[in-house]
Amino acid sequence: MIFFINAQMPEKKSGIEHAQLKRLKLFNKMHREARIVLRDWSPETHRLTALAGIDDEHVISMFDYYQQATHVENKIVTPPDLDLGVENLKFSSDFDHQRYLAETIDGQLVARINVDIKDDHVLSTELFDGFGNLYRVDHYDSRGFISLSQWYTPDNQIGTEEWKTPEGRVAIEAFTRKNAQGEMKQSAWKLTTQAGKVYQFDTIEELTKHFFDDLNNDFWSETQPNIYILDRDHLGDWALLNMEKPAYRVIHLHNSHATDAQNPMHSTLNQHYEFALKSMDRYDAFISATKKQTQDVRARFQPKTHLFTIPVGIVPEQLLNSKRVAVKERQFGKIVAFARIAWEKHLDDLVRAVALVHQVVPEVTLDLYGYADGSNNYEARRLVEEVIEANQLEDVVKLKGYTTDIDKVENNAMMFGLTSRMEGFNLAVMEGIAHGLISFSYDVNYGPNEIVEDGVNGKVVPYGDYEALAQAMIKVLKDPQLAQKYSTGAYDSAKRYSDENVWHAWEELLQDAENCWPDKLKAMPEYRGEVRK
Amino acid sequence: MKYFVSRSIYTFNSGMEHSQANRTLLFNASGDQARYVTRDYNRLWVRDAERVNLNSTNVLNMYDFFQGTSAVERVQLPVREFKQLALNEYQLVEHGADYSTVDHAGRQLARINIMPGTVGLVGDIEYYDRFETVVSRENFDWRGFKSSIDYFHPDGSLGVRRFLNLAGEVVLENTYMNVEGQLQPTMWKLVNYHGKNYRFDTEDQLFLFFLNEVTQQTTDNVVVSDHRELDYVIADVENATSKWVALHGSHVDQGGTPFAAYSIALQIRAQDFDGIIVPTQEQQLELKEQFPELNVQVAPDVAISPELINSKPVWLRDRIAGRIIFSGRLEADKRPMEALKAFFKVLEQFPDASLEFRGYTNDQNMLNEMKNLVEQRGVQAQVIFGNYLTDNEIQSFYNRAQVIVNTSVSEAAGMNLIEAMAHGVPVVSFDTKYGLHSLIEKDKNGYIVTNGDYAQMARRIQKILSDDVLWTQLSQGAYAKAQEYRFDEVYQKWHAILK
Repeated sequence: MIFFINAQMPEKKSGIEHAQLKRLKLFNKMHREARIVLRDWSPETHRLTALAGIDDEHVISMFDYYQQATHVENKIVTPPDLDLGVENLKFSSDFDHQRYLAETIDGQLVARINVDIKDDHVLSTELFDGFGNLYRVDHYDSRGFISLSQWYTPDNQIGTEEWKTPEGRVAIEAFTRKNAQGEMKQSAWKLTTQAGKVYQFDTIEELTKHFFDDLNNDFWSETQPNIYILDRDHLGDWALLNMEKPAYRVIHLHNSHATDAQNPMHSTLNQHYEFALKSMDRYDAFISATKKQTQDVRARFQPKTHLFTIPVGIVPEQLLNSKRVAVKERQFGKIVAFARIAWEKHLDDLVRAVALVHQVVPEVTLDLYGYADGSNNYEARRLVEEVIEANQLEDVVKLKGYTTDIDKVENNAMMFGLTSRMEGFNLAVMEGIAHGLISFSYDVNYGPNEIVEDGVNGKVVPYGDYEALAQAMIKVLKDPQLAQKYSTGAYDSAKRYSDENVWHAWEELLQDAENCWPDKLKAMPEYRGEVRK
Repeated sequence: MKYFVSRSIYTFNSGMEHSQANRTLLFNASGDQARYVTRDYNRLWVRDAERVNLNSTNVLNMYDFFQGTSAVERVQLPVREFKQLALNEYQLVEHGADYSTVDHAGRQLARINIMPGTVGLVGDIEYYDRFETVVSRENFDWRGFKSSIDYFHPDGSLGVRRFLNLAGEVVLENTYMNVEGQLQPTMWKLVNYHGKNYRFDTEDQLFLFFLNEVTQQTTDNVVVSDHRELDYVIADVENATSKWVALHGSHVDQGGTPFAAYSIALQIRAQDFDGIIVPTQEQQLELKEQFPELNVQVAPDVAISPELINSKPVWLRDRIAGRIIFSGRLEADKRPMEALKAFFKVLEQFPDASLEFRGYTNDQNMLNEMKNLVEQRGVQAQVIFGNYLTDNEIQSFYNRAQVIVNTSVSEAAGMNLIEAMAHGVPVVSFDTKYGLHSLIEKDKNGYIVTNGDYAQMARRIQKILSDDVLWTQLSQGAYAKAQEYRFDEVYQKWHAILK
């Protein structure tokens, strides 16, 4: 089995979640079994995975796994369904807080019932004893059972947390205690399995290791190893190194391994990957999304572990085969950017470039698609807005927010702009070229300077040189033939990310896993002398 | 169904529990179904019940009832076969007879305490966190199943106790939270009891619910309240044809004022009961005088089993010469010190006499004081401070004695004296309440001496020890007196009241 390991599948997905979803789709298409493995608990796991198009068969959440809740029928629990153990309650709505209050006839609070006001289903209940103490909060899984109960201390802090099966058996407990400095810390985890065995752990990392071991046993095969692809390092970099039995363990780099992506050989390591990179040869493989990063990693670390380049983006066959839109049918001068409006995306530089283009080609317009990042009180958006105001581009540059209607937008636009400070791949520009958009990017690691090929599907200019970016755009806007050449080049270059090509890259890794398996098995005392040829 | 209701059966029982246990046996032996009902949680109750010859067919505990474990057979659960331990991951390390630990990489993760009084059976298991504080504890029942789990607040105090059924499901939650800054149990919540949840603020609210549930299942219910703390609960029980209060001691202090604990039964809720049952006419008369409107009935609080009644007398030659016994708690109201003083006097004439105390104590100071006196006197070999004896062990205690003394401030009826008489032991007693004058007949089975006059007590003992013919007469008289407490006699009296 192949596991793609992540924390959760949130509604607002980052590139990592998108990469996993595309990858799962590809594996499904190629009839190769794979599972999304989610380490963190959420009451909404299954609503979110369903929303992302993953059926229950293809997702294993660690908490679900031990809560015996991998497959549970949906049930809607509404306030009248609750049994609070007290007769003759009156319910009043408190819509400001999206909740109901359950009180005795004497007005004593028995419970606060937090609901989703869309359909009144219960999210959580805050339970009070007969003396007005909040003693427990029950959190309901979106499928309609109590998944997590948090027991409160007399001073109103969370004490014991317990995760239960839909039938109510306690499966996982976490405890909170004061440490020697008097700070409340999570101090223990306890797992009780379906068979009644009890395991104790200091940290969730130790529990994660146990979970990886259980998965390894459940899907054990003598013919091929289980493959663990760790897409978020902190979840399991230690656990993977400490598993009981062999497996094929892969670290997937989703971002630059160096803090300064422009100085990949010498700058300080990206903290997320530091542990894994320092222990590199103890893993079986590393994946980078670009050839360039693979080269840089090889040059810097000279590892014995195997390095694979596998694009995280996949252009669907349907898109590759869809009718091409000629440049002249597109809105002249329309530039789009698909990115969160965040510091690392540096979109204020893109607006600066557009300001320069606008002086020469007044028809130019720029639409920015993506959520505004809230960090530093929306600093990135403020910077963008400052440049717009300074250059009076209010009619030229628009902040359009998030959209899912990519085809419509990109089949109408002409160009794609990218000014990020660093990237791990950049799915957006890949989709841009797949729609025939002419791309303009800074020469930035990793992804932009590989997906955009200078002189083939657009222009790559030196990092930070927005004037050069503007000049490149002007040149294309003034030369319809060149524009059509780049657009055609864009459509053609998207084939690098076809199902077939990406799958071929995966096959190399899968083959490597299979090749090393007999030796791994042989090295296992349990299998000494029993390994099949 | 008869329900005799009190708080618990203990490892060390007082006269009240003995009386209740006796009555339960008596009724069942007479073909009249009766149950000893207890409120308190005690996961060792089956062991304790067996020590007073009861078992799960005639004892019903509230927690057990809700846990669905009332009739579970005992299985032994040795630590070495404790299935929930993952011994491929952890090492079980024994630390003497009392506990073992579950170790991982040299660190103790959990501690398994051995069930008291057993060799290597699981009693409870405490789980530690990385700060080495106890975060939870699983408590095992004497019968070998996991009965409850305790969770602790960060300061180590009990936070929640959850009671489990045999399948390990939580059936009852008892939380501890603050009330005006004081940590105390604040909630009992029945979980999924016949499909519903029920929240209670106090244990006694739950107990009332329980009694009403239990009495729903039987007919012709007669409920006897044996414990003063529970009178107010039983006063509210709904499904009873009659409800009674059984007294097990004096209801008044030495000045004659009724104790506050009795006011529920005698005054405040008296109209909710059909009557009061006392063991002696003396107490009946006293009550009638103080509370003329009360229906007060008399029935013995002890019955001598047919086995004992029919057993052969133990003659003087088979007893220890000069053995004097004292049976009962070694606490102030029993005045064991007076017995010791009388014994010292006896020694003047019978230097080889001995005194055997049997009973538990919560008054260590007094016990030490007595031991010091014995030491000063240099008669440690002749004074035995023995442990509490179970019903099965107590036979030989009585059968080797020549005289029993009673120095109590007051007794409900002198249950221990009646038991001693059933073993042919003559009695020398202070003149106190209740019923001693109808029990002890001068020159026939013993003597009553002036209350507090230990010298007089000593003289009577000396007389008995010095005259074998007298002793034999008194012993025969004692055996004869015990006949009045035969099962059939006592049952008739109780039956006439409870119907």
